[in-house]
Amino acid sequence: MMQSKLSDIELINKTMAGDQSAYAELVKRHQRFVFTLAMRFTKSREDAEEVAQDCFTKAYRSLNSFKKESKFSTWLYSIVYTTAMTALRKKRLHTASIDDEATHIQIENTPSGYDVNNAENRSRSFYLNQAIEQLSADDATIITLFYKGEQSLEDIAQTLGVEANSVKVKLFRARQRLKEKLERNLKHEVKELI
Amino acid sequence: MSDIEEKLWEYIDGTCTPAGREAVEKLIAGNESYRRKYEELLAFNREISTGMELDEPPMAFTYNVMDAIRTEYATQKPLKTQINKSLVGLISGFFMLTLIITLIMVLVNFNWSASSIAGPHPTNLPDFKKLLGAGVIKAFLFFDTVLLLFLLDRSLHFRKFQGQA
Repeated sequence: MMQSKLSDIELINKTMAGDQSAYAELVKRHQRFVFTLAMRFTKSREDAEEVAQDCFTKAYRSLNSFKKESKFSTWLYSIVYTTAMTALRKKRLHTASIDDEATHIQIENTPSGYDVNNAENRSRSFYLNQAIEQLSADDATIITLFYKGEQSLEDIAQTLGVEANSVKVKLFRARQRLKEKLERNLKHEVKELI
Repeated sequence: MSDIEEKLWEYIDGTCTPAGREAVEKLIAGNESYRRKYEELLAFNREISTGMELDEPPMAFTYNVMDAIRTEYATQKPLKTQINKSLVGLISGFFMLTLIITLIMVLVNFNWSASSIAGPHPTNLPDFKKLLGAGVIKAFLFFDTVLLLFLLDRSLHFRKFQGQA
């Protein structure tokens, strides 16, 4: 049977039995999302690669402790979250807190990914992704987990180690801030074009 | 938190109660400002779902991860990699069982009615000649062989796993 057709749990069982190619398939399956989550925290491809790689090696080491009642992705994302937070602390970078507007402005003013000259060629999706990049790590992570990680509020709560109700409130606020940033970026773009 | 938006988001996410859902549906149907807000949030929700892009890791990412795992397991200290907790438990369990059986046999056969400690008192130790008959020795050897094969199998399996890592 092709490895790619197997479920996460079946691949884990094969890995536990000594089949390393099964774990390589698991890495392939989840690497894009894990890398994106790491990017939400580190804001740099090099650091994100290091964090993502660290997560997969940690997960391999701890496969014995994975309880198969929950989803593998939820367990893996919780490793990503703690690893990324630890990496941030080590580098003395501060994850922008929910209301830390000053930090947001600082991130917004970074030149990465923003080129006024090609503004007319950009799609709305470009501005959405730009606005997500400008969010704090907490906000961007919750939105990414909810919309792209196929995670319920309960799963996200488990990943972040908080209550489901708290996730609900955080998601609501994160979406509000994303909307504000998207509108601000689009307004700015219109002004530049005029 | 805006109460209207909160209710509408709960409705869109499908996290409200059946009663709450019914109430929001009535509000959307009967109130123009609610309906407009709902459509605005629904469009924004769709935009996030379809417009958000995931970052692509480098081409060699999977290879690098597997290489890091192989390196990590290859450089681990032999003592750390070869200790098998269940094996240690099995051996210690065997010794504990032997000690307990010996203790019970000594306690059962001890002459508790002796009044003085002066002079030797014969204790009724079991007749080992009877106990160690051909059947018992055969059973003991059979048990030892099975245990040896089991431990050998575990050891080879463990080494194979470590070799692949």
